[in-house]
Amino acid sequence: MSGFTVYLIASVFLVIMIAIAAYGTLKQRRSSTNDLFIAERSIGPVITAITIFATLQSGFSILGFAGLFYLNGVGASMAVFVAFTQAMIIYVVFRRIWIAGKKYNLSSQADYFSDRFESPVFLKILIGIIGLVAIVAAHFSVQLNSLGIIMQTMSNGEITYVQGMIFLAIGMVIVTLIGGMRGISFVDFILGILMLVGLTSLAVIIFTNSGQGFTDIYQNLKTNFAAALTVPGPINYFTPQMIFSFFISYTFGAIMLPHMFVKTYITKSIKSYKTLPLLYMGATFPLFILIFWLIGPLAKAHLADVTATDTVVPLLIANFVNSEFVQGLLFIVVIAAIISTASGALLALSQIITIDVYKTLFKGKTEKHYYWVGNIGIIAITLIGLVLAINPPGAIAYIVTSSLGISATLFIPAVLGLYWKRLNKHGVIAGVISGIVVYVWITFILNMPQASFLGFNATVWAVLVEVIVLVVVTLFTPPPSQNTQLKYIDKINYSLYGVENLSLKQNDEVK
Amino acid sequence: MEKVDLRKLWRGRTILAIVFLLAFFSTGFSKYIGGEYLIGGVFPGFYIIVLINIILIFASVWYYNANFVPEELHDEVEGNE
Repeated sequence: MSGFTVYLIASVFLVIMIAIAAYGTLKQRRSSTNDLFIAERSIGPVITAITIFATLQSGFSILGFAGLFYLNGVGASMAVFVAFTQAMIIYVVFRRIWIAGKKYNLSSQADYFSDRFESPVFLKILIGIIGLVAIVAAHFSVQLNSLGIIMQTMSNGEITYVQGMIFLAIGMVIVTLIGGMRGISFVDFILGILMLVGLTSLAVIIFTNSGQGFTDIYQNLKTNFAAALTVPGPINYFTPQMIFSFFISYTFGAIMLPHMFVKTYITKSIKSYKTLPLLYMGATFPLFILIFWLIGPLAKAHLADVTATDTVVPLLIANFVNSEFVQGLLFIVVIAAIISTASGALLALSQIITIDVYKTLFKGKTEKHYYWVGNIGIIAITLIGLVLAINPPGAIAYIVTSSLGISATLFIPAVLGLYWKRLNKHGVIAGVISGIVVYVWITFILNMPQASFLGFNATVWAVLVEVIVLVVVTLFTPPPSQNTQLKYIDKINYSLYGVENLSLKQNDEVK
Repeated sequence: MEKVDLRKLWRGRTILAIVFLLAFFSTGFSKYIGGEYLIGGVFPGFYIIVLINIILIFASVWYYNANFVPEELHDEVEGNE
């Protein structure tokens, strides 16, 4: 496609997205941070499930996972287990966090940590900064990177990587500013469905146009790339240790990214949590099957010697789809996936800056003031993300796998905080900091971003050290107050199960 | 609100955990249970293992939701304490 056509298609798509975001937000939008960031806890289960799906499965899943298959073969499909554990975490853990959010008016990840671990300033800012770094490193800059790749590849290099990235980033900022969480959830719902339909169509079109069927593709792989059909794959990436590391990184890390975590709060009723895991898996499993069973193998069989493996999907579209109109539609599907994740990430970044950091340091301003700080934060973060994405350090899937270690360190304290009364702020602060130190030491100082000691990646070692430090420090320091223990364990148990225990009987206020 | 039978709930969760561990390890160690064979000389055995596991996982979550999670579990929660 010519550069002009690519710009035209992208512009039409962005205008439609802006209109949908505006429609989704028109009726109830108020100038409040609660509405901007968590849609006043008013979203239904189906839209919540699809928005979680669209947040986690993004341009990274389509471009990055297809690239991961291209490099490493079938082992990449271990991602299906990640989808299952993510669904279970949403069901078991996030349901409790939703209750805490509703009862104690929490609206961000740092809000939960600071309230549960009784550290309204230090822990709030620490978790905010960790979240900020985690999103920018693991998700946001990678999405911008994907936008540049797709614009450049689809226009056959007529549009440069940087030009394409800036053009779509501007559109994404407008969608986010107009939509807020309510509008973005609405947009995500449409984009999530578009993603599944589009990828199915892409596979069907390539099968038809290449003249090779399913059997031909796998026979081709068996003859030319036999190692891609088994684990550990052609370059020994998916060893049992790396499969375990991959699983831990994506399960703990992706689910604890702040823009994912904040989705916990947006649903309007706890009843939603009964259907959420099934809806989430129902959308994610087909996507993974499409990518790992069809798109990835098609790319491996048809595209020889691609060095920038993240470009295999746009290359398939450019090489095997004849009609420019259909090319344009498929191109929109990929951009849709990227923008749905990036706009959610952008909103969470702005929330961290406004609520977790700015509001903690500068109290007493009006709600409107914070609302505008949030909007300015969206623009500022986009500029930082653009600068970071200009020179990406490697393949998308590798960047994400290694950088998810930052957010993975938040998983254990977040979960234990809901079940272990004794867990206190000293244990959490020491645990999280030691986990991050180990992660940074292995990844950056020892320069082992993938497999490290005994074949496991840095995230596994970071989480292991964190758990030890967290437990030891907690046991040697005073427990949190009775009130906090009651709030986060007993009251939540009571809300969920109606179960009364000793401390509840002693405290009638709960009922 | 009626009390929920927590033991029943945990029984369901244990079943889920066992299914998941079986699925995860059977896939991780697929090499030793036929994952390296190509079914019909073409389709990787690895995928058959993954497919069976996906179906198993999905069905077990469905079963858990239908049989172990009581209706009254989902109380409406009051906000802003």
